[in-house]
Amino acid sequence: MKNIHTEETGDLLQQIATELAFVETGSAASLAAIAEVLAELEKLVGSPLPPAVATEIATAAQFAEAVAAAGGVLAADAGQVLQKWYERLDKACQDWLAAPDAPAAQEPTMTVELGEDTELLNEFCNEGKDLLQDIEQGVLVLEENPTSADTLNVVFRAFHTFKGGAGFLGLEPIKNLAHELESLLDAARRGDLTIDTYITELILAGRDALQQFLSEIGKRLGGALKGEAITVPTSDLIARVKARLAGESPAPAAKSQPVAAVAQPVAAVAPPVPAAKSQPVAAVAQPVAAVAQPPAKSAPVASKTNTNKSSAGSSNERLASFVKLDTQKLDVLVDLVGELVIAQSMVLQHPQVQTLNDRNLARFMRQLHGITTDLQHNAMSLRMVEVRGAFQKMNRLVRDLSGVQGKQVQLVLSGEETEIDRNIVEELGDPLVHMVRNSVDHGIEMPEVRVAQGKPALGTVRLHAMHSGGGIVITISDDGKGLDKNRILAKAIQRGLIDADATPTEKEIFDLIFLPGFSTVDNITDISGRGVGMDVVRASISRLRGRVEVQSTLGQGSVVTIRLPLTMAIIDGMLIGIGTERFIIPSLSIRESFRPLPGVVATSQGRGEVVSVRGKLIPLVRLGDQLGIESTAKDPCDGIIVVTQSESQPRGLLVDRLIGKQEVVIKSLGSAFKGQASMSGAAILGDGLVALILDIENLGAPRAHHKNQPVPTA
Amino acid sequence: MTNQIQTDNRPKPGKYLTFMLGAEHYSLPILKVREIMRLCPITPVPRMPVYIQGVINLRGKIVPVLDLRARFRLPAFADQERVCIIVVQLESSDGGTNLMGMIVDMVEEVSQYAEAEIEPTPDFGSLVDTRYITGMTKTKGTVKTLLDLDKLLTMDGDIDLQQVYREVA
Repeated sequence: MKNIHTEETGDLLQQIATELAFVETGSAASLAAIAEVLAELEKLVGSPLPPAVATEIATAAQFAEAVAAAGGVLAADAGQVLQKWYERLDKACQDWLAAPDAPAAQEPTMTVELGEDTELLNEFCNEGKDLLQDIEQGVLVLEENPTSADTLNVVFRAFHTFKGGAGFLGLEPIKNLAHELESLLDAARRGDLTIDTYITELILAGRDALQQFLSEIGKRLGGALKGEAITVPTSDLIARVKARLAGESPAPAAKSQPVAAVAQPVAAVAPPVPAAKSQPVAAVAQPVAAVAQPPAKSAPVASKTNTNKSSAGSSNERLASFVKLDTQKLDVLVDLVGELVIAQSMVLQHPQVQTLNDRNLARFMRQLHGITTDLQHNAMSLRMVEVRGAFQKMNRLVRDLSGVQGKQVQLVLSGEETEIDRNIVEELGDPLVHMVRNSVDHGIEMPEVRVAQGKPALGTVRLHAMHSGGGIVITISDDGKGLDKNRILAKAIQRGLIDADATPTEKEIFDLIFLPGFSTVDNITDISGRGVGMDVVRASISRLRGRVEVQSTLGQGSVVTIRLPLTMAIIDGMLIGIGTERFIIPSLSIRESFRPLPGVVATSQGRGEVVSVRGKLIPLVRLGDQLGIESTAKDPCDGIIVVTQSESQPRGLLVDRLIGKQEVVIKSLGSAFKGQASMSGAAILGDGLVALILDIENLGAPRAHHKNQPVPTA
Repeated sequence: MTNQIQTDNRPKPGKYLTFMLGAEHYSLPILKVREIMRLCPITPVPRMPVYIQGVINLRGKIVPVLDLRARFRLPAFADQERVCIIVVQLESSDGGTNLMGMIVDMVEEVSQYAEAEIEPTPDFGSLVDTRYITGMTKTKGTVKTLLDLDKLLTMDGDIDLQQVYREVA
């Protein structure tokens, strides 16, 4: 942007040269003229002055002082001295103009990668527009009420979100700008700063710069200016924010320093300052972000209307059109459709309706059934999103991690188009990050180690998603060093996680890494190794009603497999009866069920019962006793044993009868039952009554207290 | 009970729904009441304190139901003729609202209480747990107890719910 000054600088230098000619003829008055021109030059170059130029200007000032001290009489060699001085000044100015970066003019640029990040960028822009609106509204409130904590928080969070999104997408200039503004608001939030007009204008200026960025990104997303770098001037704004944060007051000097500021068209119409001549030039060449002059109240307001008119309108059309919807509304819709399906089956199964024998009615019923089924599938699909977004976030993680660690790692994604409930995708982010980190950090070896082992130097981490058995399976595999069984076992024994004389199977050993506090890495890196990785992963996956397991071959790599249900909203359940009560066991947890023959159930110590299933002994849990319900199956042979598979171990649940298998809409039991652990939710059955869904993980888990201890008679 | 808490919780004048448990009259702010419904089949939730009767399906929402008689340790009521479930709306700690049903013997009426009619909770000594009572009124010759719903339904009261949960889990 400096080049726009070339002409003016040249003009000024020319003026100085002319005055010098008069000096040589002995006219001391010319010195004053030179001083005037120098002042203008100083403004043009802007602050901070390049040192060389500053030195020469100072020299001139000294010279003029010396002349003044001598009573305005010029020394004989004054002409020559000044001629040399002028040459130096000329050179300094030319150097400044030729230098690639002058501080005041330096603006960071960025390019957007349209390939894999397109969707993320799109999302970022869409989200960003809302955030900008929040900021603008927030500022308007703050102008009325500078101490409103809620509003400060809203604006702070908006910038924070911007920073996060931009940082993730590698949009450094946006991130930096948002970071500074965030700091500013954070200071205001803490009460270190009071919001005044100067600050609100800084915020608005920042907001407009961000909008400019978004609009530029939007243009590139729309196919225009593909690959061109985006430059939006922010450095001056950032400098001013920093200055304000450092406690400097809004410097009245700023008023007389308009050249350094990045002008924008509307503000330039009425520049209240002497250097007005140069301003329109700057404005035309640089019709970009509105970095307005602090005390000029009209400028930001003008810029607001300006940006609203131009950039917001244009970028809107180019982004893919999405309707942003409150997820709660979506959940309510899905719930209601679930209700509709239940209500329909209540009508259809009503005994009196069943006795009706009308061909038309039967046809209408089928039609109704068809519509509700379609409606249900559609409502469900509203919540389904591709796992692509969650997967693509890993790209950057791998890139950064491998860079930091000096490893060569490629991430191969497949099956990103697999769809899954958006609630699950959101929850999936953290576990994925943990596991991909683990793969890169612990799995993939350094390039030289890999080559020495005959592997390609480039390590591969694969992320794969696919549908399988009514659920989704995500695998994270790497071709790294794999898990060392012996080391895991040794570590587990050392940490007291298992007994020293235990002889676990391979699978059980690998399962140990999911225990809290387990980590085989002796030196903790900032990436992983604190032992809070895999247990968190397992906990998150369990919350999603999924399962996670690890397979590994030493020296060849590891595979982590995550199995998840397609949706959190509906489960396939087995309805079972105990006494007069009904419960639902998620089908995903059921391995098999059978009516026991006499002799398969054995007791130990008179209480602990085990059942032999295909030669394996598994503990038997009498569900009736567990839940405090009178069971009709006193003898196990009168009931049914449902073998469940949970994280820990298989268990046989003794129930009175199996009623049927059905899909149910899961409903939360609400906060009133937050503390209890044996139910994971409830569902409304076809008859309109509620049945509770058993939480197989926690049911019959070892109790903290000894069994002999009486349960309080609450 | 300190005076501090009583002044903070001082019931506001306004409309109250009154209902009966045995011979006793109780009132709760009408704004908290979502609906009143006939007693319907309740699905028991195992291993809960006795006063938690279970859950019902309220047009697709799962709503826990609490037996107010059991909550106040009154004897069970035999005549189910006029028994109702009052569904109330509570602010939950996370900012949302929760519904909760309360089984009462019968619903009486909606009455308006002026500020002067509301008296602070008398000191029952240790006889009565006054933590979820905000005050009392005496209108038309009957004494009514004003209940603090949020405390009544969320506070563990005399039983440590968390402890119970731990025991039965």
